[in-house]
Amino acid sequence: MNIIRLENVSYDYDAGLPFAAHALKDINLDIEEGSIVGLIGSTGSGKSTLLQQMNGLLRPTAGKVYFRGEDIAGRRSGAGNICAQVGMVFQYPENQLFGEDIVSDVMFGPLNIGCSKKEAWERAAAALKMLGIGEEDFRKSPFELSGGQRRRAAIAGIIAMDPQVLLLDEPMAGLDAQGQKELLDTIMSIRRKRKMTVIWSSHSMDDMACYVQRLLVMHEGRIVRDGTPAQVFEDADYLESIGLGIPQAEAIVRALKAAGADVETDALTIGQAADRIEEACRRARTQKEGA
Amino acid sequence: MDIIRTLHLCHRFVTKDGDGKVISSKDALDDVNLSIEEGSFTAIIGRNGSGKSTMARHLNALLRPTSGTVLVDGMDTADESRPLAIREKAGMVFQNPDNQIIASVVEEDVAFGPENIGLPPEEIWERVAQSLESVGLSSCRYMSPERLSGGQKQRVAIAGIMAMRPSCMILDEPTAMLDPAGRKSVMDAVKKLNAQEKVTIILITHYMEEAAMADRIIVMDQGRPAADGSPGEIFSDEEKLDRLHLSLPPAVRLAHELQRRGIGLPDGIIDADSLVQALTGVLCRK
Repeated sequence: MNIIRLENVSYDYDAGLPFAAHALKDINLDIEEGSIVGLIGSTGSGKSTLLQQMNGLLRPTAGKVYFRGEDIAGRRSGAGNICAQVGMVFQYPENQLFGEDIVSDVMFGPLNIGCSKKEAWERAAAALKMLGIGEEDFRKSPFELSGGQRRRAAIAGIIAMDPQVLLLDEPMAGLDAQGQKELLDTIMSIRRKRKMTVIWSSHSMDDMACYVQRLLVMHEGRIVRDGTPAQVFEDADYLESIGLGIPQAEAIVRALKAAGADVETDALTIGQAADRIEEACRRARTQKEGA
Repeated sequence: MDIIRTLHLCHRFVTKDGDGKVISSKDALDDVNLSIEEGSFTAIIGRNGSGKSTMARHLNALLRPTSGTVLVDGMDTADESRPLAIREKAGMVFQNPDNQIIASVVEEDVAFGPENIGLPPEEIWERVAQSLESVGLSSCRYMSPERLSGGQKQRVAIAGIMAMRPSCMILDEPTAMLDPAGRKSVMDAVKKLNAQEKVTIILITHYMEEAAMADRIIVMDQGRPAADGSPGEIFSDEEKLDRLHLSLPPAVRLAHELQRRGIGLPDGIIDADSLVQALTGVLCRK
């Protein structure tokens, strides 16, 4: 079933003014419940604007946005309700921590949607623990945490709202390798536990190749590709022409092929590339022995 | 010759409450002794909170040592009269392209530094033209920075530093917010400045494949250099990198995986190019 549906959505910044910028152009999109969808595109291609349409933060200039069949763009108020069900994690979310301590920051959302203090605390505690922040850190000021912990605390603030859809706008930017991996694994496990739908924008082709089921490519406000990572990454020339690239594993096997090696080029991950190269080595050896 | 030297450099961040009482303190840098050779390309890597950015801020006198000394081209950063002279020598490029652009026309942004040090107009415009040329943005000279992509904006920021004719450029995660094409354009510009203009480069990054482009990698951990060597040396010790919360660049990870599977590859593979070259030797032998 579709949880989010966009019909002919267009969005102009400064609509009606002479310098209006067309950020989204006639987008049609269905997001299936429980799926994990990646979103790639060069800076300024409309990724963030598209994500903000999905939880009512921006209202389309034309077209309709549906959440579970309900037109969220049409209603005049009550966006707050949608924000609770469709949670949005902005870029560098740790910059938005404002609570005196971590736990009150995370409780802010649940309190705002009418939870009792006790319930808000329970939700906050559960969310923080899911994100790997232990009770001993609950009362700490956000400034006492490391960058990675702050990022996770900020995401806990969204998870505490118990959203059905999680929108993530470049959630890994600026984290070290281990921090990225931990955060990714955490988000994936929360997703499984809560059966959440995840839509996630990123500049890392490698992450997209490893984690998403469906990959959308944006260019100049339009969705120009929509398929599995394997399908999307097949057209490397096109992706490069719009400022993107392909996963590094794939780039290596293709460079080998271009250099004259007899190697299959469908390899999205390091493991798959190793398989392809191993096969090619075996073939090269048999050939040599045959000759 | 060394362009930068740190001697027993320590930096302590102290948090005080409203009454000025110290409530916590953290040693962000702990007895760091480093020399950076003139004209070299050094990458500084390390987990979040390891002291990389604090280190960078000491190298152009944005911070002063709690104890110890930092010398930039022989000038002591603790010398109150010197910060501007030091920043002319050692320019800094930050992470967020949108925070570094101040003018409404690209050429004016690049001219800001030289104007500030009172150069004559002809000299300023000559430097602006050269700097934009060196980062490949001559065609954007009269454009509004708002119309530029993230990668182009970062290159405008780099051109602004180049217009000061620095001998050293410090880049603090300059590509963290960029898309793949933007990242490539910035790294190409940085490599070119190092190779052709002989600018000393100090690059702080989380991208291991960017660190692989340097001559030397310094790994920071808990406020100290925990490893220091060529990319080949640093990438050969996977266990140590793992302990330091870092990972290998994808090409090197693939090379190690192939070695584990018994495919003979030479040591010292640091990037996709060297891996492809080694493998073509194995796969395309006629």
